[in-house]
Amino acid sequence: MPAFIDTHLLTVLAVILPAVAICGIALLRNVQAAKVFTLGIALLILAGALYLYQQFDGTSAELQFVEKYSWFPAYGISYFVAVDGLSLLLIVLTALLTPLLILSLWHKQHNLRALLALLMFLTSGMLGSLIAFDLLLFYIFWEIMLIPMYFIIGMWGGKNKIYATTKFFIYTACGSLFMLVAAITLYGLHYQDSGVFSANLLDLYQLRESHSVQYLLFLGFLLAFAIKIPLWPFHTWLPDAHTEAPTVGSVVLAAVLLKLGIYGLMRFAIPLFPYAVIDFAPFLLGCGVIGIIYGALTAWAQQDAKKMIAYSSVSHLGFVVVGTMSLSLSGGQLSEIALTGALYQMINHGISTGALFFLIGTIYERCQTRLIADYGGLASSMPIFATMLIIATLGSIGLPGTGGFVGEFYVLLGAFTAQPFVAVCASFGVLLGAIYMLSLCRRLLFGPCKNKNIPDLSKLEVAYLLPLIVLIVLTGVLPELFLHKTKPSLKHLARNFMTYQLTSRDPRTARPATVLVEQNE
Amino acid sequence: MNMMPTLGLPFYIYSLPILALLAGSLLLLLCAVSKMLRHPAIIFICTLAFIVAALVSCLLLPQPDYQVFAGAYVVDGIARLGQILVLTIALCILWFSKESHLQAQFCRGDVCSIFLITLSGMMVMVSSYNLLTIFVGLEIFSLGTYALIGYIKPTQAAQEAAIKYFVLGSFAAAILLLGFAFLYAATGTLDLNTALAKLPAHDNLAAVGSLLAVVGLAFKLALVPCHLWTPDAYEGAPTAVTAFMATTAKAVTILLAVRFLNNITALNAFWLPVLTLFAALSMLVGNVLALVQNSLKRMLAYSSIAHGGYVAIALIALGTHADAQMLDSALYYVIAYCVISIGTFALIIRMEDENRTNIQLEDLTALAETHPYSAATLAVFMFAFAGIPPTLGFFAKFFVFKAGLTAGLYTLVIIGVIGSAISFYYYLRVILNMYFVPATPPRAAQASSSPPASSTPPASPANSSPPASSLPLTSSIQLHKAHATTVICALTLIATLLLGVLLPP
Repeated sequence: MPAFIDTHLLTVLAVILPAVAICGIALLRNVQAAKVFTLGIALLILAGALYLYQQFDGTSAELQFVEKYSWFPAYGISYFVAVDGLSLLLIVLTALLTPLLILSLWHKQHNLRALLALLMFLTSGMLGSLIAFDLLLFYIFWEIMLIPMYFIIGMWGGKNKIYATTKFFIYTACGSLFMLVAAITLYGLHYQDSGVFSANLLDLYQLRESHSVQYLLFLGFLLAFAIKIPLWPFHTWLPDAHTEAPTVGSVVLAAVLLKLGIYGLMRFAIPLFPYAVIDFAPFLLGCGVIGIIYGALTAWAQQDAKKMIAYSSVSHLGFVVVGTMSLSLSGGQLSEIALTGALYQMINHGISTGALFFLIGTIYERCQTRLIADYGGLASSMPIFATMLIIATLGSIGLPGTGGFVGEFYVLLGAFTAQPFVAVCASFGVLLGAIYMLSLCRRLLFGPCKNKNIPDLSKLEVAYLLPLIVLIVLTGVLPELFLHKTKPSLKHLARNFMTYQLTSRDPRTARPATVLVEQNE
Repeated sequence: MNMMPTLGLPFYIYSLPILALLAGSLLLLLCAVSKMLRHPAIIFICTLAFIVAALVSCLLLPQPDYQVFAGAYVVDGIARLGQILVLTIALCILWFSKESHLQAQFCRGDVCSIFLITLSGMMVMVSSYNLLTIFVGLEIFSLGTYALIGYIKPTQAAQEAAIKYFVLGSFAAAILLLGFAFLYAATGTLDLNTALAKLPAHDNLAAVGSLLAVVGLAFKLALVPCHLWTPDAYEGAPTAVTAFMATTAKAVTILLAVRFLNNITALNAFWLPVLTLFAALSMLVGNVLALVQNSLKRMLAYSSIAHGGYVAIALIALGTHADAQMLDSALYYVIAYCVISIGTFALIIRMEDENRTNIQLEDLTALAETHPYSAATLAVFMFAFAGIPPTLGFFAKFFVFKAGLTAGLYTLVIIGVIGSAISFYYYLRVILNMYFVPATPPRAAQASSSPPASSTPPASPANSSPPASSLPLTSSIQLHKAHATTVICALTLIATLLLGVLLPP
């Protein structure tokens, strides 16, 4: 039985349990029963993810929990899922978020069953793209995520929802199409190279193409990821989508969906196209820095609380991009640190921004307005809310003692060794972040009380917020607890990448120093 | 295998499907003149019986491939696929047209007779290596289609569509015939198989012939710039006939193109650039023009033009690097497109009634609330058309792009991708009308009297009807009557969702 669980756990988590939940929701006409059932499944997914985390061998960079079947044998396409240190924390984060989202929906929304089904669908897509190691499989999960998100924003969104959701869908789907073309081309090149069709990522890692080919393919992938992240010039869909989306939509978008862009860069772009990454890194670092500053300044100017947090996401993800791309410019030990920082910052941003969107959602429900100017003095009427908002804000700014500090510190350290100028510019982002986030806090919580009679957070709201608040502190105090299992994979990624940087620039002679060994039962 | 001087038993066995259809059409004509047998139910059952008979005999055809008269009639893989596809779709169309509001007009002896003859023409067209037989089959099916468009319910729009299609179609047929004549003049044979062997690589006559033939085929495939008939014909024709044109006519033309182009690869240098240009234009123009359509059928017409462009990628790939996977990708796309289209048109037929023959996008408003299952099904079909995984449409597109990229057609595939990106917008418009746009009864009821002049205005709802519930779909669509469309929708829905995941080409 344990063997069966170990080999099928990922499929059960990402495909079977969500499918069961959707079927259950379809069959259960009673909303209450559907809610309880979905929550049960979501908790089961969380339990499975925690089990996965606990069983994961944190000393090895190898793929674990591998499950592989041939899917279209004639085309070399397989159903290949696995997990390594890169995806481990994101999987747990996704699994943790799902039950919280369901709890946050407990008392509201018309058409709740549909929303729950879409949420489970979305969870499936997110988990699936984190575990897929076959290009086609990854693409399918990656695209599947769009459909539920499209409906969540479109059906439960705010006034401008149709514009926002169409923009979101078209933007991301267009980016993905170019990734599809690049992926198919890569797959064709592998066929030319080896005579075997394979969409298996590990096989494709072995492929070394000339610089120009790598550039083009990298750009194809980059477009999809940059839109998803969203990197600075491609970010315009995000504020609209975030602002119009219902609270659950914003939370998922901020906490997980955006991370998948970075995850894609780490999983696909860096190992597949190292030369292109080396050559494009300055450009991407530039975009990241512009994103940090621009996002922060724009956030500062916002009157709408959700929009402010949306722009702060642009800024924070700029940090993550800087961390990821510092890898290519720094040498030795520190490259890994920047990468670790990027990964950690992804998790922190997911937790703290998720919490912020939840919190804004609670006051939006009470007052039906997102304008910051409509609030004031909430600290006196809603003390619990105020406490949580302040902790989440501090986490978002990166105060020492919160996870954000650790992540930002690592990123800046890595960036400084790579390119001091970038690090200096990025540090301004931290400063600006403190300014606008604290001003948000001040305007909402203090000053003359404009919202005297609104009730404080209910027990339910505290129940779904508390885990996130605790995590914000815990990630800051005990970073090793979270990071130790990811280190070998990150080290492996960084070391492989270094070999390309150090070896001769002739792509044909360079091969990865160590190759991930498949662990197949 | 060789020349057969006399028609033996095998010929009759192998051509049984076509003979069954022809016999059926004659019988139906007799029914049409008899007062006793003129009843729609009898006609319907008779037609159904003959199509089923043809389908069964098609499925039971002996395994070894067969040809007679040096390829004038062949039964090979493509022919089998084409015949089965045509008959299956015809069955669906016959079945759901019985539930359309044009039921009485459709279940007439003469109409059904034309329908069967059209089918036989299509089947002949895909089952031959002889240019003349191909042309005869193509003409039979074209003439039948013109008649079906204009004859079933001779409204002004339908007649305009029929005439337009007829004039342009005859012109295209003439061009195709001229192309065939040039090929004949260059090679001295009408047989595609041997023509290939004899084809001189740099023969101007043959080159012009291949070009003309490709243009003729492009017309039938509705590739830009030979597409002008499509929107009007699709919009004007009764929806059952539109479904018929969109699926079978397209499918057999593609099968014919596969067979034909595969055999004139020696002339690649001449026709490939032209077809490439047509494909690129189709994907761009079709998708862009679909953006601004308000009529669902017209939008689907432009989308079918774009889809013709995607298939053309596979055809071009086949022309440059003939290999089995590319052939598969083309055929797979055709099947996928037919499945999705049939499902979509079945839904459209279900929404139509006497007063609402041309569904506008606004008519779909809030469909999700009044008819959640229909809306969800239509949404799945739209995602499938757009090529979003995990639907069949995605896999079809994936394999076509793969074929294109393997053949080195980077530019074309990039154009295809841009086209797809554009297409998201109009497919999403259908969905967002159904799901996101709130129902606004009073305004929509007033505004519904001023749609574009060319279309039949939807009848303004009676003042007495309760505004909110009756608006999106009139209640004249009764669910118990629509079991055929339900079944067809369900089957195509299941196929759309699962076929791609489970079955590679």
